[in-house]
Amino acid sequence: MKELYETLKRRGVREGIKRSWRNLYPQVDENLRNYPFLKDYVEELKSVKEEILKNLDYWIDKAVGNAERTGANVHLARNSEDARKIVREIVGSGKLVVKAKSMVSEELHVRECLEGAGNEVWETDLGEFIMQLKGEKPMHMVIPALHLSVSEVSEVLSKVGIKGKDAEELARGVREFMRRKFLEADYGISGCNAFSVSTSRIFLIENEGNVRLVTSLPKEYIALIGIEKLLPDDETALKQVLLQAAYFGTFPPTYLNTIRPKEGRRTHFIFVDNGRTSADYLREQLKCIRCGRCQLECPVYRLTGSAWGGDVYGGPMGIVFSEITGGIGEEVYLCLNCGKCKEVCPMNIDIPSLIAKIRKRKLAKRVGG
Amino acid sequence: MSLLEKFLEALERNSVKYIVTSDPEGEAKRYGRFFEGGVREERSIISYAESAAADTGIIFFSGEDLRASSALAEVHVAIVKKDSITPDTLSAFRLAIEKSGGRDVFSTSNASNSADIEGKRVWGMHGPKEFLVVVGT
Repeated sequence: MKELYETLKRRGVREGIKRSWRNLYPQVDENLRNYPFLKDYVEELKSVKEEILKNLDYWIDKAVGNAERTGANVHLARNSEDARKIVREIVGSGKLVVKAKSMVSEELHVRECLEGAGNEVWETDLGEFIMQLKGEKPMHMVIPALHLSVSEVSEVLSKVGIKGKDAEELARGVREFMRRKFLEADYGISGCNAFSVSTSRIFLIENEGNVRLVTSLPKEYIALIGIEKLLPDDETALKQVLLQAAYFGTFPPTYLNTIRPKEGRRTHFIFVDNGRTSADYLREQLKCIRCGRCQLECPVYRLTGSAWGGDVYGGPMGIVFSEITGGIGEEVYLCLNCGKCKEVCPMNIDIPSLIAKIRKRKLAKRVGG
Repeated sequence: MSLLEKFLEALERNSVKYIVTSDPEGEAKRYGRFFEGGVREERSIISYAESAAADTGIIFFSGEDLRASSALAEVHVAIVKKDSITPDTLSAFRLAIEKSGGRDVFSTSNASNSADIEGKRVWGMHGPKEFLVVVGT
């Protein structure tokens, strides 16, 4: 809660969120206007995801079995400790690791774990790289450094010798700094936006090109796959990533990467459970496509950024995801229950009702009910 | 409206530069070298698209080495043949898979960019600063 009060004093957080909302909100409307098929995709995806969630264990077994047949090294991490142990054993120490932005990796604290084991680890997404150097968690799932001004970013990047007076110069400096890392990296680590169970293809969208380089250049590749990302086939996976981009506000995505194990390169698929299969009464949250809309629209998040919403994800979806993956604290009671998050969610996840259930359970425990 | 016209309209909506020509190879050569396999850091790279979606302007390619090399270049020139333009993204994806011969499929719809600093869009973040589409009629 201390972090929350400190954040309330930071004007940049409120301004950054407002600016992002102003930039992205009209874009979402425009995307839906220009591409009416997106609404059909939503309806289809909702029912597909509902079916998968009814029988998640079956789909996990199928995903693991199929992936093993492709020649990937397949692991199933039951919890975050498991996942960190697997990654640590694969990478060892003294290696150069480049990472693509991944919320599941934030959830598991993979970077910190690998750094602790004596590896050089770099976040390669511009915003995430800035937050790594600043030593703070991302302020938003998709726009991690939305709250920082150019001069603040400039100060942060100067820690690694990158100089510049505007966004263009700073970005150029980061490009030059990171290019050598991409080319020399031993390991590339990414998350997964959608996973096609039938073909074992990982689908990843992006605009910067860092995901493309992280997942293609290093000698070994590790994919962290949250099990809520499982979808039956390529076309459903493609629809999900297109929706994610459209409802975030950038469509079409600049890059779509599909990745399968490749001969001559060791590939590791780590399927991550970490509370998801036992999500029980919160299972509906696993339909989330991570567009981040509920965050930018939430009146509480507008003041606090991801200082509210748990240790990792932030905002309304963050409250529920945090409860699923590790537990949420007293901040669950700060939700205004205004219902905006449900209204803007493309999957119509009833986040207010999920938050109400968490509250009820917490109170029942406290009073011994 | 023909598929070609629809595709060009989508490219304009995405602010992507394009050239329509009956000699795409000759035109593309003015901007760089053809991709010949392997992972290389070239200033400019020309590659053939497997397919392109008329409604979104999403262009599909195949091959892991091309995926890496096209992201390492400063300029990526994509040759899109008129007969590889399909009505929508799903049909373009299907066609790309069919033509890929088992290689991985990927798509590009613009130059590399980021708006992570104060929401200002900058081009050439980690990948090409320029993405040029040469449409062969």
